Amino acid sequence: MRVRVVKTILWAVVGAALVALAARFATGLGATTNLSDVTPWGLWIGLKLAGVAFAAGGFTIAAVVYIFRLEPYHLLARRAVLLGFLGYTFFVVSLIVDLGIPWNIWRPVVFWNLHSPLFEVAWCVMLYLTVLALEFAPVVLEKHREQSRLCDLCLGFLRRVAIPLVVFGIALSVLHQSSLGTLFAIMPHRLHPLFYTPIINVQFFVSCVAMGLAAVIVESYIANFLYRRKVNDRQLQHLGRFLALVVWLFMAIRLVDLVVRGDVAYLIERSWSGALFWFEMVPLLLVPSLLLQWRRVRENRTLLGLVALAVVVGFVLNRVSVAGLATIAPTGTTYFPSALELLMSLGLVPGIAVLMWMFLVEHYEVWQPEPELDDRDTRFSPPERDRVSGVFRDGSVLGGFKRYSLAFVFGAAVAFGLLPRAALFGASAVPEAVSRPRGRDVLLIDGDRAGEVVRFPHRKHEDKLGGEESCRVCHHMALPLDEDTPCWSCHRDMWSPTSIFDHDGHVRTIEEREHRKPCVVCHPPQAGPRSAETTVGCTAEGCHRHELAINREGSRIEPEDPERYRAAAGYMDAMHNLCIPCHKERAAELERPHHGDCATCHHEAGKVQMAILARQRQSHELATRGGG
Amino acid sequence: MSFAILTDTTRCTGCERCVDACVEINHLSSDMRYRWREPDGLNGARYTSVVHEPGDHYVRLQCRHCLEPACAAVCPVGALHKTADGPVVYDREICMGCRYCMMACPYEIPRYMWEKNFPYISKCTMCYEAMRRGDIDQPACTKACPEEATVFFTSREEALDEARRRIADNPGVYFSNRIWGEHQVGGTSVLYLSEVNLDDVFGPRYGSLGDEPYPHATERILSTVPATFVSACAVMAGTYLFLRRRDRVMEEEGRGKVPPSSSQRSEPEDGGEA
Repeated sequence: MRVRVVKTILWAVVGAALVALAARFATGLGATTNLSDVTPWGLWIGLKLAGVAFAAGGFTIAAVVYIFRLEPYHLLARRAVLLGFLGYTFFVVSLIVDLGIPWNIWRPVVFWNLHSPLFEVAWCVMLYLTVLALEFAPVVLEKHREQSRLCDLCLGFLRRVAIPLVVFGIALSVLHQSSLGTLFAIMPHRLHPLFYTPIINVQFFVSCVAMGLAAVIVESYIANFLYRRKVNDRQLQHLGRFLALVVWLFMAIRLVDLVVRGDVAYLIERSWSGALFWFEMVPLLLVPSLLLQWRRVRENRTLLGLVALAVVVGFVLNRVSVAGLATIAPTGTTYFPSALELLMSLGLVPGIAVLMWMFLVEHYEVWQPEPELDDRDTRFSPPERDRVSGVFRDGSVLGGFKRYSLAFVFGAAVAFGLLPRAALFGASAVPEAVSRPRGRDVLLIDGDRAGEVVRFPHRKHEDKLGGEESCRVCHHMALPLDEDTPCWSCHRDMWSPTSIFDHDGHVRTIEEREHRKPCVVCHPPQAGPRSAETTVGCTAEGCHRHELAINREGSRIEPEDPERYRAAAGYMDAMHNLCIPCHKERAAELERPHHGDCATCHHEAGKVQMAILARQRQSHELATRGGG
Repeated sequence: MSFAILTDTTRCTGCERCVDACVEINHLSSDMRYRWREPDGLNGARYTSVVHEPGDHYVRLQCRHCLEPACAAVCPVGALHKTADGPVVYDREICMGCRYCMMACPYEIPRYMWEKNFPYISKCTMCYEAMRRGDIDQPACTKACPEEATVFFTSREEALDEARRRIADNPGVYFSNRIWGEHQVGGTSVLYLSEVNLDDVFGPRYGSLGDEPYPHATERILSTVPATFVSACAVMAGTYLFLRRRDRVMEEEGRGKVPPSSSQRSEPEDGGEA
């Protein structure tokens, strides 16, 4: 049965997406998404805007039915309002996911900035969501009116205020849908001229009407697909004609605006944004609206559904382009949403919205009157509606609950298993191994192998600091059984401290040489659970208390924190903290004020040296290969 | 009176002491790593940076503190606002993290602390808090500059005068004798003199920035909001009342075409009439 298969898939997706959501709140936006300073909005906002435009059917059909009193469309009213409600819920939920500090979402209620389009959006969303909820509430209340007197009272009240609510809702939608466009009026520097226009708010409004109408048509076909309900052909055909008109209007506004602004030349620009524009305009908007002019297309169910779907996709693309694609292309960076981002934006919210839709459709009289069964399509048997309770029966052996919770857990488990490292542990610095310096008298230090070396005259430093005696000035320690351990063998990471503690080695040494029980030497029982944090000091009162004292004699290095004896500073910090203080001291003696500056060591010559080195290595390799 | 900073890229040697001073006074963490490092050097942990342009030209980037800032205009909660003294300051206690300021800023100055779980915006505030407390008499960056390449003025007029004086004293040095920020996007508090075309360094991506303040584009539209709302309400209510009246008259007179389904009309109509 189609309904059950679809629900199972949706539950699995929602399960996976909830894991992604948990990761997003546990480790932050940075760790779970590919957003960055140049693409701070990514593609999320575009999808959100598309969700809102999808909801526009709510106010369009409400206007048609209640204001213009076109009775034949009355049977679409509840369905459209439900679409509107779900679209806006989608928007608010995804906003919570996307906001950096989501619990502050209420702030616009208290802190007002009347100059901000987003402030207007926030207020309109709050109010319109309330209006939609009130508009849809009668459907839910109706069912329970016999059980509760309160429901009956509320229902009476809501019916009384229905028309004012509809009027208020329409006015809010007009403002809100257009102010979503206004958001982008302030970023001409980011938005490609094909998409930017000072009247982008008008474009957004017109396109949202078209999108809403197309969404209502698509919804009918989904109901047909899932529940085998008859499509209201006549009404949808009329809607199709109206849809074509609105799409024509949208395209006309867009082209006239381009001509007026004098940006027609961009139409023939061979660029990513140009391609986006044409892809949206021709196959997704122009072709469908041309097809809709044709009576036979409108009367063919499959074609009408496909055409409406194309328009929906076209306007989703339009929103995504304006909010994302057309602003990312010019930054010169690449951006593609991370898997978690996709899961959250394409999985979580639409998944929940569709499940909510299915639930409401199955339990309440959203379809009023209930469309008959579609006799033409007999390939599957739709779920049966109970005449008395008005609820769809789900007569399967493997009860719905078991099956769906299994799917949910399965989805969640798969998602958890595939979570990237960063999503679990936060956006930590990725370890970057360093390389050893090359050269003889002059060492070439290129810790991060970025191709820029610092030339370090080792012999010169040795001479100046007092010959062989001076080794300990810079080389503070050597590994056991070693005399001159190079820096990079302990400071292995370029950026973050490196653990240098050899646990197994210590266990062995204590056991074999000192014949003591190894664990309790460092982890005394009273210290609590055995971990790196609870070990007794290695240097202050531990085994190595003498070592440091010896090493520090005459050394420039001072261990910052004896308790952190198990970690070596990052390579860069080790080098900088060693060289810079000494250089700064010498700056005064030598009367060279810039002796402690970056450029003393990091200069252009380093790059040249690196190139020479690379060439030498190449020729060396060639020579050895030739010899071999 | 409005604070201003004049940055002269011909004098900058790229020593980055301004950056160090900024990090120190604002208690910024160590530089952001990897993914969130942008080529221009600004990020969640750097309010200012020095860009090395080909030919050893150094350009210091920082918030321009526009006279009519786009970031402050678009912030839905007013977490960013322009003070009377000129600096545009940020109140993280109010911010909700929508990142609209990052999208709207013509110079792309506000950055985000992507490494944090619940991140804030980060942006130069001209050390306004410390200056207001009286701890310092000028921003840390201008104070740290050894070459007087970036200088603080308590009045924007003075800064402009100084810039004009430098142009007059050094003919042929500055690129088209232009002061960046004098008129651009309605004027900024941070002014630039340069020997190279700075539009190439921090220019916008599409077109040129122009002299019109950025918030005007949205304010033009937003100013029509009340009228739109009222007229939408009026048109809808008027249409409804007119059509209802028409239907009733038709029904009463018993002629013309009565809508076929009017007898089955459902709840909203009844409610409206009650």
